[in-house]
Amino acid sequence: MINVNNLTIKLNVKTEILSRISVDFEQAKIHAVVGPNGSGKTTLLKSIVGIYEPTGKETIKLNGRCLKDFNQFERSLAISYVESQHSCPFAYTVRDVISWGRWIHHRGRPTADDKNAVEKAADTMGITSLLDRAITTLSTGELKKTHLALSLSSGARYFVWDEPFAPLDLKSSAALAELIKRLTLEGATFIISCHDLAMALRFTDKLSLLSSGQIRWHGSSLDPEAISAIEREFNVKSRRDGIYFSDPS
Amino acid sequence: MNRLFLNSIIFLTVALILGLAIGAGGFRVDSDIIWSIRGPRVLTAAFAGAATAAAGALSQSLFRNSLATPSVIGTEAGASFALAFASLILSTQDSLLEAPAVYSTVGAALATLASISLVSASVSSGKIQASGSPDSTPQLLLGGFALNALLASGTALCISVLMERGTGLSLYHWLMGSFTARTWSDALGIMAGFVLCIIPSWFLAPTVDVMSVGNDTARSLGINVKGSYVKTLILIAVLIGSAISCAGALPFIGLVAPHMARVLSKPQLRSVLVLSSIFGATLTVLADLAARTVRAPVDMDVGIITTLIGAPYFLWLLRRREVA
Repeated sequence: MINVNNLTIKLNVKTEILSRISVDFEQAKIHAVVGPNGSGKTTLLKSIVGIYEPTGKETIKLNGRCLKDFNQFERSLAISYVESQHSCPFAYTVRDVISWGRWIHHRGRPTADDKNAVEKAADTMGITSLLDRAITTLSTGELKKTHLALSLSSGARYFVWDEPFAPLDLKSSAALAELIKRLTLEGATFIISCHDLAMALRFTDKLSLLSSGQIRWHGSSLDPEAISAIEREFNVKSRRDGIYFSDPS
Repeated sequence: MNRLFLNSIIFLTVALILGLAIGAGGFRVDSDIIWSIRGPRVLTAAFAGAATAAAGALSQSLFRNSLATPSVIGTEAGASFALAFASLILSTQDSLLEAPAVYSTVGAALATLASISLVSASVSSGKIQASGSPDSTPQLLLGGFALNALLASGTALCISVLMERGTGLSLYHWLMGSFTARTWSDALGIMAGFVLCIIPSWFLAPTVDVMSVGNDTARSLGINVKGSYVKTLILIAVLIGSAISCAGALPFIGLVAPHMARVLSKPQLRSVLVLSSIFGATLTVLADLAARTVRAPVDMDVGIITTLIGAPYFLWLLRRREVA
């Protein structure tokens, strides 16, 4: 369980990116964080991972314990984070990069266990054939899969992924959604930002709608109110044959 | 990799032998000259080149850009300016600056910090900066460009004032890169500086490798990004500081040697560091050999040679990689 309580993050004295956000992310659930561009999704995710440290009274708690009180080792052991974009100019292999997911376990000297975890994660993401390719030769989608495999290899139980679906093709997206569901059944927790609202509603358990740095709506993704909240916030109309959203005009 | 390593060692050995055997008077093996003049000179060149190249490799990895080398981001200019400024304040007509490595190292560190802080201030301020170090290399390069110009004019000013006092010329040649009249204490000094830095660099290298995925990801993986950043910056500053204090600037060595190493070796920073150092040493020894034989008996500034060879090579490399 991750509790975010009264979190405010400022860009500078004047501009608040997140204003007094409070939201709970229960264990073994899939949480979608949606909202317009610039609404603060990435900032919220980075705060949960501990990259932006809250300084005031606000707290982020993981299983009842303040995130600030975790040392870097404990934090990395519990939560794994994948950024929305990746860039690295050097020609490390996919295997190298995935194995960095277990850095706190091996500190540069991977054991047989670590190597197996890398192979397993690559297999889960369907990129075994890419293991010895240089990451500089990968497509955006393949690079995303590499980083998701890195995250999976870590052994963490909380996964905070910033737009994991964005560069993936239709088939890979569906496979990833299935994978996330399966891992959630095994007890993992996912907090995922996502721009495909129809997809977010279809496969996640909880939805947090963020706008201008505030939570506008939070609740079950199956709740019909989720749809009306999205319609209000994005100024779109939904069509009930499945869920699609389109411009009302 | 092993074969590559072996070949590069052979090249270095050949360069060292040539450097020791050839002098202004052509090929002549004379144990006195080798022991008292060419020996320290060649060793100083080798270790200064190795240190400059190793600093280049570290800096490229740290800033995730093959162009972000100490000569580009202002580190070398800072070291040179610190030397010039310290000479202006502290040296007199008949005594040269004492402990120059200290000044140049401090100058290198300050200049690097200056270009980084310029960047992080322009990228972000306030709380968002909590993630630590700059992730914005283009700004670092542009900031370094401005800083280089500023420091170069400062150095020129110091030199011109010293010219009026009559001591400017030796400082000028020093800063342009020169191995003339190097002694064993020079050679041992730069050797110590290099060894002192390359050992911690070896242990830091795997961490810097992981940091190439980005600061935020590295941080979430349990890496102390800020700490590793600071440590690497200190190593770069000491390497450049000690190289510049004993040999002056070696333009393009810090860019070309690591670049060659990265084209040929595995991407892991440890391999790149070792290979860059060997290439840097080889290139500098050969450049020095050219500097003292091309216009013999006049010693040219070795910086002129490294630029004459390095700049076209680099352009060729860029072009070739674009085609491939």
